[in-house]
Amino acid sequence: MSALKPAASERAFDAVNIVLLIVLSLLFLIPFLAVIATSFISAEESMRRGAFVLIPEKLDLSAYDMLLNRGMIIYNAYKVTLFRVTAGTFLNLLLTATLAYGLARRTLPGRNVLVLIIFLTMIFHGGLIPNYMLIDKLGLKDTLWVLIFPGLISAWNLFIMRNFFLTLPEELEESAIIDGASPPLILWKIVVPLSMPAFATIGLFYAVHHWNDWFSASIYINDQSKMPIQVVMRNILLSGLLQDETQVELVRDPPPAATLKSAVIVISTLPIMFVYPFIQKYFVRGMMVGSIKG
Amino acid sequence: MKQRFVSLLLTAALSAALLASCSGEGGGNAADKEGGEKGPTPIYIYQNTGALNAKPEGSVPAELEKMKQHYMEKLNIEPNAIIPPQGGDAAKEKLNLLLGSSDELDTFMGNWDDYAPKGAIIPLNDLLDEYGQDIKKAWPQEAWDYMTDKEGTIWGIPRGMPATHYPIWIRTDWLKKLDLKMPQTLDELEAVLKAFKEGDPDGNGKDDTIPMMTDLNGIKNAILGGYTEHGNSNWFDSSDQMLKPAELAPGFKDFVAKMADWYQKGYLYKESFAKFDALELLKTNRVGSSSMWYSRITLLFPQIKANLPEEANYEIIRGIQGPKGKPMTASPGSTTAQVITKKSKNAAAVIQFINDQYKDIPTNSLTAAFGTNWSYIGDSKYEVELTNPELTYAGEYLLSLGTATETAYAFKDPIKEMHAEYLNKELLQLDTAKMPVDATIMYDKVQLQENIPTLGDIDRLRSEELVKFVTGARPLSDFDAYIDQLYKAGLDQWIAEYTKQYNEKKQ
Amino acid sequence: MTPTTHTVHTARPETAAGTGAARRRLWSAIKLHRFYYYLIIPGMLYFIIFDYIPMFGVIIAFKDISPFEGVRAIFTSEWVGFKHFVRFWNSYYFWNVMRNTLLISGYKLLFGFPASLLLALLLNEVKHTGFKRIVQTISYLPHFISTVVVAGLVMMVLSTDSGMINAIVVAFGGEPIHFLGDPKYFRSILVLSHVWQTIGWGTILYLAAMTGIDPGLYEAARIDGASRLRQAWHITLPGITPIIAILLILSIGGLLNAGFEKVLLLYSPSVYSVADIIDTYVYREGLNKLNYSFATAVGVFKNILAMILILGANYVAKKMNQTGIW
Repeated sequence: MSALKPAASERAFDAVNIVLLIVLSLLFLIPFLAVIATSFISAEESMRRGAFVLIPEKLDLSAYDMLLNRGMIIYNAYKVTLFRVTAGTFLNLLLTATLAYGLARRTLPGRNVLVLIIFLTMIFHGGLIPNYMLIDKLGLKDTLWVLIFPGLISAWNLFIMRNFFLTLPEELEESAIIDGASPPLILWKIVVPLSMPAFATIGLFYAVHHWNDWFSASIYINDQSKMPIQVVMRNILLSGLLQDETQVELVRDPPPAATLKSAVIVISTLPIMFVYPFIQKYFVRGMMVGSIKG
Repeated sequence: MKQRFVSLLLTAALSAALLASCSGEGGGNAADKEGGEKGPTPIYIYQNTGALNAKPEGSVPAELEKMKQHYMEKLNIEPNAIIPPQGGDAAKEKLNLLLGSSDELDTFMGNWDDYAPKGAIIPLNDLLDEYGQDIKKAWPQEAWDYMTDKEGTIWGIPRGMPATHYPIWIRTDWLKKLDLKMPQTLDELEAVLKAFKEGDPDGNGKDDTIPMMTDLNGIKNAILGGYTEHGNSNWFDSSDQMLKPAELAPGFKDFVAKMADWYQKGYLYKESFAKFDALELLKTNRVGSSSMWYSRITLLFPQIKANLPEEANYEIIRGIQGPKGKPMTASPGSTTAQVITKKSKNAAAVIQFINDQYKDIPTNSLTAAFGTNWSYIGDSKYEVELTNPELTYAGEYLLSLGTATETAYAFKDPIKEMHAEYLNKELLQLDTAKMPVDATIMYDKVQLQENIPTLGDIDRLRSEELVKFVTGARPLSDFDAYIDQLYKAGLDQWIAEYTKQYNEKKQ
Repeated sequence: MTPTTHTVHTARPETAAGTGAARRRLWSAIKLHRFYYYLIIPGMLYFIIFDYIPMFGVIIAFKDISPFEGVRAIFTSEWVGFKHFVRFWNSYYFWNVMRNTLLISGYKLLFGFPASLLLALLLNEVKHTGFKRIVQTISYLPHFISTVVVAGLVMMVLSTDSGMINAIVVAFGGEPIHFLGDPKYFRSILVLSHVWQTIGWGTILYLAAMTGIDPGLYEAARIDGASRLRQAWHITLPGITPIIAILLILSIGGLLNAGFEKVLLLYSPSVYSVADIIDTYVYREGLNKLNYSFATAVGVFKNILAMILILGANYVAKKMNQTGIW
């Protein structure tokens, strides 16, 4: 009797939970499906049916044709984005992890001062002009490195990473030291394998940031062939929006149609969304604790 | 072990560097091409004229190169465009950074009175005399007046001139259907709006007609003139010799009362004073009239015409009068100009380059806008068509966008015709509207800000409270309290400073 | 009496030797940590070059310059003291703008923060890994939609003519409500769309942290007959409190950023009274007047407030025996 009761309530809990999650998922999914559907309808159909279409009457690829087939604007922008996501994320992780690991040493002399120095950068910024001058002096302007170096370490991610290292059990390292392992060996053989969930998470944050960021490129890069995909996307989406009327005065043509805008959204967001499922395999419960025991 | 770690670091750095060099090569370096002394003169354009709005993703690279070649062969000038980012302040921010840095930048569009006092741009008098005769000819004197300071220095090339942007458009097929005649007064217009509201002109059996779509600028520029002597303008109060804002003008309260009444009765679109999508609204076949910026009709209506009944049409209500005369207020000229930077190394080439686009109007300006993708219809040099409906050149090098060139041709294209008609026939009909009292005064913005510290607050108060009164969020009995509020926010300083500058600057 | 003098007497030479020994001990501690300093150096160099060198730009707030005057003007132009700060404080709308900023971002934190946590707990309870992964993947979709698009969606859904919400209102016999033009609803719309956009993405850190919890704990709880809710409350939640604490501290530092772009895209004069935030205020001021020094001054003001907030939050966290930032 008493064994059955919790089981029944558990099943009820599961059912409610699953229904709730399905409803939430629909809430997240539908707008996105509408954007995808809109990108596949003809300009004429979008004029007729409005901007929120879930099922197209007829598939029309002209928006994609226009964006992907003529010229190489989008392809080139993809290449730039791909470069910054891969090279950028790698360097981000490398520097963030080393700094976070060093600062996570509880016995490190002066670590509070160093943490304070970093913390202050989260709050005080010099502003755009001095940054621009610095980038100029360093010779980074109009190079692809400007998309990577100025944001090598995010203090936010650094603190999360350090927090993670702080939660690693100290006994682990202590026993390794007793076994005569050197600090680099401990880092490489024990800490790094244990930190895969943290690396995956922080790496994902960096990668998505690199994918989404448009500001640094739009300010520091003049050469159109070095623009990442997000700058191209924003220019299309925001064209005609948020301008004062004197600017709109003599516009030759109306702003781009909903179909084109939707296609731009799809092209510029879909690829990065497929990264997450690959990273999920690092989020397996007990992975860390299990390896401690092993 | 330590060694292994170091070598790991090294490999990482190396592979990153390799990756970079691979992708870096594709870009090509503009500086490499500038080698020989006899090569074409490079000029650097900040393309913020609005030329790219039609094709914000930019040209097909090959077509852009073709246009560059075209100018290099024709003028021995190599144009280079820097494309500003969109959204918020980003475009302006980038421009200012470029100006303050060591970057090459020759010309951009901006308010010359912002940049001239700080020494960021150069006078154009001599350059225009020497290289810009066609530019000079293209614009009338009143346009140049807005480019010239007290000393007679010309600081920029105009973009616009005094014009009318806010006529009231009405569905003529609905007038006919309900057997109404074109309104001649605001009272008659009100009767028409009432009939639209109640008469179900779209015949769908539902009470869903929107008699008028408008916005804040719409009611001020298209209607206010009917109720106050000078319309949407500061006015000179002869009783105390002061220049005052429209809110204090006799009749302003009547205007507010009327708009509140219209809104409350459902004559004005409910979302008029928030953000809404005019295109989507027009599509619903429910909009009886519009008092918004003219292009909401001229650009948008032809696009969605196919969704509406065949006879649907919007026409301008001509000659309409309010109790105090013409309801529309004209837009004065502005100081928006194509200017040349102080650090420009090739200012003469820039003027030559721009002058070429003004030469043989509209042929050269059309080429600057569309590449070779256009042709004249007939030989009047007026009607044009696109040879290929798809644009491949977006206009990165177009520096002649403005009233002077845009009114010199018309597209033979059902979608573009209405807009071109308006530009060519209506835009400059200044007698259909009231001209602001201080239209020719160029206020010193630095002084305004310096002496009216709450200038921005007063601006917010003026638009926010007007909207509240019209939408009924604030009762009209509060109007006097509102005026007190304005004074509390610094209206005395406002009036004093504006009066001072007005007296100094009027001839 | 004697013992005291005795201790004083013997203490003297000891402290003298003590400082020397302490210095030596510190030195050897540093040497012992050599490897960790090597690890730290590149990262610290980054912060010094890219964050500390440009920090002199803050002085723009105390000058009167435009960005296009170049870097030299930052040093050569004359000082104007706190002029720009005073102008902001004396603004007619100062309190209104401060209130709106804090309320909007406060509500976002109040509702958005627990929402992600709750979703993470719910996801954690799903046994079927396939289903869990699909829901997870779907839940972070909105994170990738840019603000412009979200603003467009919000306008579409809430439109009085074609919006879904008003269709429901009308179906129940109500009058269509003009949500975006009504001060009653505007903030709720901002907060709701924020939660919609961030809830899924916010779960990632929690879910990652949950992987660190010892499965043995759940095993033991199950044997004790603890229900799933009790397990979530007594095992999962305590297991991730360190990450909750640090995220909360970091978010509190962002309280003065209430989401500039979305407000700018959605607001209008009819809702200024509840929607105008510090950033939109500065944007409007700067738009007409190229007022860079003013914008910088407001930025500095915001930073100082943010620092006070973070320090406070960190202090509270430490008091509650949580790991702070330091």
